[in-house]
Amino acid sequence: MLTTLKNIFSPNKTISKTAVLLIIGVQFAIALLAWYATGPLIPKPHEIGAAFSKLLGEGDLLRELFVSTGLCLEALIIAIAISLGISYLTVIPFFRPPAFIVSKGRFLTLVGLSFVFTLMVSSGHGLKVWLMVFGITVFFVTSMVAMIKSIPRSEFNHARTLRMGEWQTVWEVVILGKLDQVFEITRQNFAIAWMMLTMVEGISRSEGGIGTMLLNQNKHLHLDAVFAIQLVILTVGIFMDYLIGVFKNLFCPYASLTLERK
Amino acid sequence: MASAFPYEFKNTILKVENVSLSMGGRQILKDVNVEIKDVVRPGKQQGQIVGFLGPSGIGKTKLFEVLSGLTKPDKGQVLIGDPLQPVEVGKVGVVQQSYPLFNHRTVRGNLEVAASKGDIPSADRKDRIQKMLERFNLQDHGNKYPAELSGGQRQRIAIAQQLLCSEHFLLMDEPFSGLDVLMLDRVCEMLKEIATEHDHNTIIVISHDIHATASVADTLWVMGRDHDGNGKIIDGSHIKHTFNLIDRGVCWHEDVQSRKEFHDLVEEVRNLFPSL
Ligand SMILES: Nc1ncnc2c1ncn2[C@@H]1O[C@H](COP(=O)(O)OP(=O)(O)OP(=O)(O)O)[C@@H](O)[C@H]1O
Ligand SMILES: [Mg+2]
Repeated sequence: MLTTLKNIFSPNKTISKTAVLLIIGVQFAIALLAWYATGPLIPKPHEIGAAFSKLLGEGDLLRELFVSTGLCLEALIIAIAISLGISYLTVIPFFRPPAFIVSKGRFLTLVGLSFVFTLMVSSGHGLKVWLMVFGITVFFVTSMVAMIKSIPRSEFNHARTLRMGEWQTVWEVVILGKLDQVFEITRQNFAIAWMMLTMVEGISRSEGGIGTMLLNQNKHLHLDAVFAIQLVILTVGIFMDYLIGVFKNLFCPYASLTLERK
Repeated sequence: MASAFPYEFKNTILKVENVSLSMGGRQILKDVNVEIKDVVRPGKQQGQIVGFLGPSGIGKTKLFEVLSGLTKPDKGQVLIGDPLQPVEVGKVGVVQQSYPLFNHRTVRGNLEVAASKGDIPSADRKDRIQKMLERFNLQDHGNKYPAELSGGQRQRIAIAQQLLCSEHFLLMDEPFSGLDVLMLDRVCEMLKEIATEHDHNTIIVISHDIHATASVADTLWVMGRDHDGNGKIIDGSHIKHTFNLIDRGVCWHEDVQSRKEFHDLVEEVRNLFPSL
């Protein structure tokens, strides 16, 4: 018993399953206690639960969630298509400067851009989609370009020694060979998109969505509802992240073979 | 000493002419000149295995890149084949120091891609690949990914890939590094076997492992640099010594490694290294 206790606090120790469950239980209990110990301002779990059922019943939570997820996926798909195009084209020197500029777009703010975008797109939906597309693309291209640049010369040479032309070398080494990395980058950028979502939905509220819902509850100081919505956003985000991981393992089974923790 | 086996050097099949290469303002290769000749043994199918030796950092890998056509030298040229023609990437089978493979393809997939780029008619490919897998003792690993293989297995697939794709030349950078004694013997056997499969098969081994290289080669070239009057190194490696192993009686013998001549030769080359 005493050694178990000691092991729990020693570096690089493996501990039994029961010990792990025990630790989680204790930490959860402490967190819960701390939560109830906070002042009356912070809503308590049961209040959040009640707010959640209310949102589900009257507030059309599911519909709003559906709208938001749809928007996010639409933007993500468009952004991936554009980003992959821009990134893969960097194998040609002529297309390297544009990619460089695009990746520097990370330092622009969406709020500032929304005005420009409003002038260019007519609908509120279009505005939201293109703001998101912009926001995702600048990060996606940055990661992709860095990834492509880091491919060692020996991998290109290997393809060349097998009599592949430069185009086939690009196809085999850069596109097929690094598909697993594209999934990983998509995963990261989905998280960025998911975070931008609520902000973008605040800029154009006509269609509703979970972000609009959140802002409305915020305005009325319904903290319990705000917490409930946040938890929903968190859960859906984690689930989508997991889903992308599943797709990655499905399409690129070789990707996780060498990892210690799969 | 004359060889116990009758042989003759015939046409030149690879010629390195005055190759010089600088990188980052430093001369790495200077006037490298080499001729590899077709060895002919009466009544026997005999390809050739030649070795380039030299201490670490002397420019062996750079010469390897030049020989394979991956790097253009600043000066000079590499001619290959019969008749001799300037080398192009893909003409020479190349096994790099790190055995890169297509990690997104299975072992069989790796071989299929290579076979599709070679001159094998598509109807025969499946058959050839299966034979290749069996020959390299990989028949149980056809559906695995490279990440699931050992270093030795990866090396054999890299070799198999090149054998499927190119004709008679196989250029290998450090084929003996990271192998245990048993694997080392097997790789040596394999190289000798490939060499006897066709008269024109030529394996060029680049290595710092004197013992292993000498045990398979018929000719050795030792690379090194010159020193000025004060013993300071002058940049730019070239061929400093040539050894004909056939004439020294340490080639094509079954038990070459147990012969005294073999140990004398290895010792002789080893003693050269500090001065390179
Ligand atoms: N990109 C580069 N720029 C400048 N110098 C380089 C570059 N690559 C290699 N060199 C230098 O060229 C020399 C030869 O390198 P090379 O890799 O050919 O050595 P090597 O003989 O193959 O050594 P090893 O046996 O360790 O593989 C080294 O001294 C190295 O420092
Ligand atoms: Mg080297």
